[in-house]
Amino acid sequence: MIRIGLRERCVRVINRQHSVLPGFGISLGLTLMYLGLVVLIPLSALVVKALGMTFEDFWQKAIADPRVMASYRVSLSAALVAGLVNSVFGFILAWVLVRYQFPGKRLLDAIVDLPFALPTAVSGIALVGLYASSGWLGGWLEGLGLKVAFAWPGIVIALTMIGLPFVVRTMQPAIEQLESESEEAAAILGATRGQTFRRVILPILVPPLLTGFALAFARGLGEFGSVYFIAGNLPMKTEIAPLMILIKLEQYDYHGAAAIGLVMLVASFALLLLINLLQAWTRHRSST
Amino acid sequence: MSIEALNITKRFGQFVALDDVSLHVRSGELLALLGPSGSGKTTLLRVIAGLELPDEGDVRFDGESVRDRHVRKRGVGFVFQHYALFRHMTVLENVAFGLRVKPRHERPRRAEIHDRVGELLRLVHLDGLAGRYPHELSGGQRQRVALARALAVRPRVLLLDEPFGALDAKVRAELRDWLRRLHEEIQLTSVFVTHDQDEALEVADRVVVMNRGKIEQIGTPEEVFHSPASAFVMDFLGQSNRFHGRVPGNSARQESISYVRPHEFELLKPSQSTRSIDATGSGDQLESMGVTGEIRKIYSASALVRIELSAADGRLVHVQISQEEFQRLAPSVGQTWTARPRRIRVFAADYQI
Repeated sequence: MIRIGLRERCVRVINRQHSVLPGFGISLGLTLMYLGLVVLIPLSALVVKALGMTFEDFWQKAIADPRVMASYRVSLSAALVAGLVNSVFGFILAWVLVRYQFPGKRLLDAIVDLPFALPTAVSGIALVGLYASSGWLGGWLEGLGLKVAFAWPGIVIALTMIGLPFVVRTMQPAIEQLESESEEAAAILGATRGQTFRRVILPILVPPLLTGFALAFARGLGEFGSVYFIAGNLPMKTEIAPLMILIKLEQYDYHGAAAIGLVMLVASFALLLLINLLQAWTRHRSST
Repeated sequence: MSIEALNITKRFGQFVALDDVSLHVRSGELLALLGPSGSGKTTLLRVIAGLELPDEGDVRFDGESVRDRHVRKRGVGFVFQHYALFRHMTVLENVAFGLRVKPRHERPRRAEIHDRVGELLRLVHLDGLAGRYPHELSGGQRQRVALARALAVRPRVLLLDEPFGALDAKVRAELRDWLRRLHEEIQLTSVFVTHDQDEALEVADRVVVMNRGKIEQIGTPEEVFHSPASAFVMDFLGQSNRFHGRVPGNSARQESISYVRPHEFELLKPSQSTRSIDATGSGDQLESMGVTGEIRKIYSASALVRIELSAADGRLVHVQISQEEFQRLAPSVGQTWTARPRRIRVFAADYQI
């Protein structure tokens, strides 16, 4: 399991004086310092910066501006759709990689990591080449009346590509851990393949699927490089929130950038909290 | 319902798990498949269940071939060694599973399912735990849930794969008695796999001893224990002392092994002429003179007293005597005693463990 239950964590802390492993003090201290330097201090600097302005000012810059508002909508909707698409196809991909043996399996497994390894700008340029009206797919799709590059679908495609490994890599170990005996038991009790999947397999895989979705979605919210090239960055239409921050910075509007940053920070935090609660609820039902 | 397995052969790659095995399970009996790991006992059980398709041979229920019938439609109940409970479901949901997945026109109504589950949980003494999740139960309770779940669909045969293998000794013994009584109550044709000879001999009506993909012997517990058909069965059922030697009267140099169970020795003071035989002596010598040696260890904290005797060539001979005899003879560590067999079984040395 990826996450340790709260109770177990407490038990570990309480039992620390009995631990055979030394160095609890120093390792915890290092961990806290590292987290502070790398994560918490930059984030609090952002909050401090944003708090430096009046509420009126903050509202004007981060909420009331229709162009900024539109960018939130684009970011959220594209990341959400990409996350959902990845949840379905990433699940199937992980299932195939774990359950079946076929030639080229290891190659396929390695390809899943490419979006991790590739600089996102490279992915963006590659996608533009493919989906622009002069590209292989773009010309054909435009003939069908579907504009992908420099439009909202292009953003979704870029975010889908970036988010795929998160879902596959969280699902794989969970699928490996499924006990084949439960499936056999279900079959002996008269369940069809479909019933076995729906009633026995899926409920156990929902928590890791939620984790995978959350990671892919969060990654999509923050993605900049690949989207920058394929989105076309049309105000009110295909500008994403991270791009708005860049635009504000280029105009030396540090407060505006920090305000948008704060909104995204709060939104991400709220979403992660929600997904964690959902996970805790499903995990409680399927804990071992 | 009777079960017949006819000339079953099953290979996994190069490994032959079952080699032309035939078995007839009588209607209503409780049969044990006993053997060491790798003997094919679990594979045979899975072939009967329909979880494995045999490479050759046929499986018949009441004379009717079920070889090509899908596991879903065979109507067997199966209990797994590690329970295989659905961990995201409560006890009630686990037991009701087989009823709830039935096609709509066969599915009992909600109230009926509830009643049936309640009835089964009473049968396995788990009433009151219907709302628990498997991880909130002990091993023995989980195994009983697994049994109730298997019985819920009213199977025609019940198959159990090492049902008590994962439990500790005391719970094992309890569940063993309980399974015996349950079987007497419901009279369902049942086959269980075990590597524990005590379990097989105590619980089953008949025992099938398996080794290397073949059946060595089929018989009642008394038959297989007292009249083992082969050296393997002799060795596998209970402890025994092995003495190598040649078969008396056989001119060819055929090796034989004499077996003596520890409780079939009597302990004697060494005779005046202490001509002890070495452990490689022939069966004749062994029978007339026994084995003389020094007592190395005595374990008296059990129903029978176990004594380890160190023979002339250094190998240990295990002897068991009753507590009364132990009191009467009062042997002690370091003394020299003779163990004379009351009964010897001789088999040709044609197998290795």
